[in-house]
Amino acid sequence: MFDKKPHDYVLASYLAGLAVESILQALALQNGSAHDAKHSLPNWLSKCPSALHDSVKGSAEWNEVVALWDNGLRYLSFDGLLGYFRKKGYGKGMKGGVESIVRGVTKNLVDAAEMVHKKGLAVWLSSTKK
Amino acid sequence: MAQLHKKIIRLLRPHLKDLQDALEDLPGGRVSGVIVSSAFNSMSHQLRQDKLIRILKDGLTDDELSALGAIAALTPAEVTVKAI
Repeated sequence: MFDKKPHDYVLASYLAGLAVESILQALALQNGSAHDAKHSLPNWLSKCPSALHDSVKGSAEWNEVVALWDNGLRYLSFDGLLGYFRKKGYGKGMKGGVESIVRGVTKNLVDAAEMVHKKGLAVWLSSTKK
Repeated sequence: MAQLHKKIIRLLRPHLKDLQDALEDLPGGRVSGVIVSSAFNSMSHQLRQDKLIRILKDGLTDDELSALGAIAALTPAEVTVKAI
């Protein structure tokens, strides 16, 4: 979606955050929390074990995912995604055309989400070891 | 609002313009969530976290710091702009 043509930055952005939401939900539910239909990453993290809090505390990646991801990203067009990033204040100072801007911001979001997801997965794996 | 939560906001307010508090009090006395300030405009995510930690390390005890959860530091635009 991100590296292979045709690039789908909307789907890459959406799925990056969805992966984070999924691991947070898994940890929260395992921790005894009830499911709810909201998509707030900080709220889901608040229901997770303290080991994950300690792991993402002070992390730029967590900050970036919370700042940029939205469950409604999947409904956007390419132009919609560009407008969304710009309204949030992203892409300023990035060189190149609009695709370069969307690609750059999307890459940062995907990288940040990957890092947070790995931390969540590490907590999950350590909690399910027998 | 729990004691630690109040203390965090009291420490941050003088340093962060237009501070909005969206922190949560969690079981066990832990505090995590989101804070919003225009002071974070044009700051990288790492710089925001560095700023937060610097302020809080100066004002919280070791026990209070260990009860601190993840705090996302956002700009007003990051909070208000929604995808749809």
